Amino acid sequence: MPIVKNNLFEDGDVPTGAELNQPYDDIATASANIDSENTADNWITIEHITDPNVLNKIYDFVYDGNTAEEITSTSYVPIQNVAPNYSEVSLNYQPEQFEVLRVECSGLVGNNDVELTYDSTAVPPNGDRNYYAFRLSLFYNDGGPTSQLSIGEWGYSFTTMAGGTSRYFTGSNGVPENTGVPLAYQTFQFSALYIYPGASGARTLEKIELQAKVNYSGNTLRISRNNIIAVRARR
Amino acid sequence: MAYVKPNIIPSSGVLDADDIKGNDEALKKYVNQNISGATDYGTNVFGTEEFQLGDYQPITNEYSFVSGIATGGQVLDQQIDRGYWTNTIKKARLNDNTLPVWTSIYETSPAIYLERAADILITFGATSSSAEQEVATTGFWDTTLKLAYTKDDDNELIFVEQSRSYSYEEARMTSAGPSGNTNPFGATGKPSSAGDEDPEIAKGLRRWIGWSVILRNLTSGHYKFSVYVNAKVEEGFLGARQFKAEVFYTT
Repeated sequence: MPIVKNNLFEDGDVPTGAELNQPYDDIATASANIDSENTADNWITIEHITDPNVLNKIYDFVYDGNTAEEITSTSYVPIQNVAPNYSEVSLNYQPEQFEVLRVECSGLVGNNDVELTYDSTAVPPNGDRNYYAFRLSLFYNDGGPTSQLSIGEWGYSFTTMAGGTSRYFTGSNGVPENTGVPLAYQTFQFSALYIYPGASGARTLEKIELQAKVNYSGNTLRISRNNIIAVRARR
Repeated sequence: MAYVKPNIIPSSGVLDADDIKGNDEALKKYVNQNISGATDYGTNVFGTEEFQLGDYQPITNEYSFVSGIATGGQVLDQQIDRGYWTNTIKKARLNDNTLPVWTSIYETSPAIYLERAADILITFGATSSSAEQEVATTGFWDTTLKLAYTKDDDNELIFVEQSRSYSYEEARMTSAGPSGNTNPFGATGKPSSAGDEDPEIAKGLRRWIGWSVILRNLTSGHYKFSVYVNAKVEEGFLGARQFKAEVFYTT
């Protein structure tokens, strides 16, 4: 909406009806399309918004119980603490082009079972078996079958660093053990962004799934509480 | 809807003051209270700069938002920045895993006023450390940490299990196994033989705590959030820590 001007009259001028009508008519025309030119910064409060979900919308999955999901797979598998519920958040919407989806994920690993001896290898891989990893996978379709896209992977260690031959603690009998300290009940937390580059409405985002794997099947990763929070930032 | 002038000034004759006053009155009413709704605003004409910033209320230490975030944190420059906790249970029942006593930790989350129902996303991270418990000098005690909040004048704590975390006593390895409900070493068991006091173990027990929690459809009102501990040692603390609270109004 442009700035509405008023007519300037000098002493003795005889204004016409059209001149007197003009400012009101200009306001009537311009007020049909008010935009940021005539509005102050910070003017929009929550009271001005009929449905705040047009701005941001939250999708979430929460498992906050104590039942552990055991992972011994060396390839990514979904997490299912309590059947039939997988750790996944349903989306089912079609984003606009360049729309952003932000994903936060966190959880707690539980009573892990680790073969510590693998930390004692003096040659490569120097104990890298004692790692586990998480992945957030986005499931989507472009009108056809469902596809899967990784939007991030995050790795953690079952033990403190003790690989190689230099860092280790010594048993009371003086024998070097070369093992790290096993780490159970530690939290994990990460986040990722997905920006949709395609044409608006051409892709349906179906769900985001939390998956996990271990580097070595002799280790058991036990996942306790976990959650996924997706924030759809609309444009 | 757009402004509509009620009176048309005639092109000739004597000007009627009521015509001008009527138009001005209608304009005043329009500007003051009648601009509303999507019909008055164009599509995609406003940016985030038009949204009201979150307000910090220093008297009540609260934040209020249209949609926004509150952040805060402490770095471990000084010991006075730490958020300490201590077990306040008498010695006879200090070693009781079934007796929780929850204590709020300093500077761990904000107080928020919600004008309407909203989702709140809180992310938190901190280093934690628990000194050795002197009542039972063996074993590893687990101090549980959880986010909790109260609403308005109701002092009942509402715990958020999505944030359940542990801080472990940095005990000597003179005795096997956990003393609390969980074992910091998991099912693997103790990592070394008895008598080992290598600092590597203490390092393994001092862990970062991080989580994100989502609280859906909280009704309007005053909320006070804090991280609470069920302390099982005489001295423990959060060192460097940060938190972020994001408010997403839903109605």
